[in-house]
Amino acid sequence: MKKALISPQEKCLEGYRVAWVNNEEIPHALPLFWVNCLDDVVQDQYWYDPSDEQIKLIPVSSEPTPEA
Amino acid sequence: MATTSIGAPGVTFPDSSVQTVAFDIASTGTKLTVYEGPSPQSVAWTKPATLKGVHVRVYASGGNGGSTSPVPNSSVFGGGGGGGGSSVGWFPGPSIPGPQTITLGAPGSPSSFGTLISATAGATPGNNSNVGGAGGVGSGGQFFFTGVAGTTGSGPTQGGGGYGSFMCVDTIFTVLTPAPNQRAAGSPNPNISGGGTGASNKNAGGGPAAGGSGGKSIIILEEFY
Repeated sequence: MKKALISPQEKCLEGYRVAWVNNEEIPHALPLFWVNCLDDVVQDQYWYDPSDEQIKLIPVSSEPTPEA
Repeated sequence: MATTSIGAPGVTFPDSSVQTVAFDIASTGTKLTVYEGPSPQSVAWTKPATLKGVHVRVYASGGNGGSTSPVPNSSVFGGGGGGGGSSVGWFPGPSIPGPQTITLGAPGSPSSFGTLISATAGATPGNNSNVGGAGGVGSGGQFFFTGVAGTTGSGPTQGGGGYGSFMCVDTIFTVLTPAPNQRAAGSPNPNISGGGTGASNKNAGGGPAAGGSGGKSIIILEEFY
């Protein structure tokens, strides 16, 4: 199981940013904190929901980019 | 009138203070160490017994530019990576609990001076997302600076990387414009804590194009004795 570093100062959707995913916890200053996460979690592509303490996928649109 | 005099018991200053031994920079002074690349890198730091305090500046790396993968009959221009955040702090020696791990994060990863002070990297946009990544932030110190968000990828150019928080260096630069039916990788950012540019994919088949790497992180440590 991997570890996700959560950054409460950085809002993401209805929760916080997943700032890093690593195999082990490395010391960081508060208010950053670590939670366990699944192996397929990727930083900045998931967000942390404090209401249920779960990590969730950020919806990404694959719509074509508009041409200028 | 008060004057400075030399003689027993030593050098006597106008305010009546006396210096009895020669100034020794080796035992009473400062030590400056700059930690930079390669990253990721972890370095153990042990608190010296005579330490009076440290001044630490942490500049996190920039986010990587957004990547793209082929979407049939469409064009995708990835967003730029966000600029890295930074944090500056002063910590008296007695308040430092003991050894600290200095972590220099790779592009897109946070950096820290142990549990005392940290900064997050700029965000990396998701695959096929043209939205630029947000800037990173600092925590644990007394002064914090947020990196600038990467710009939106929008045809015919890729998204540009965000400004890093390191000395307000301008880290947005001109990006390549791919020709029709071509794809182009993003450009790495050569500047500290700047965001990488996004990749682009203009009606092209084949494999994905990667975003450019964010600028590196750096930690400046001043020790006072």
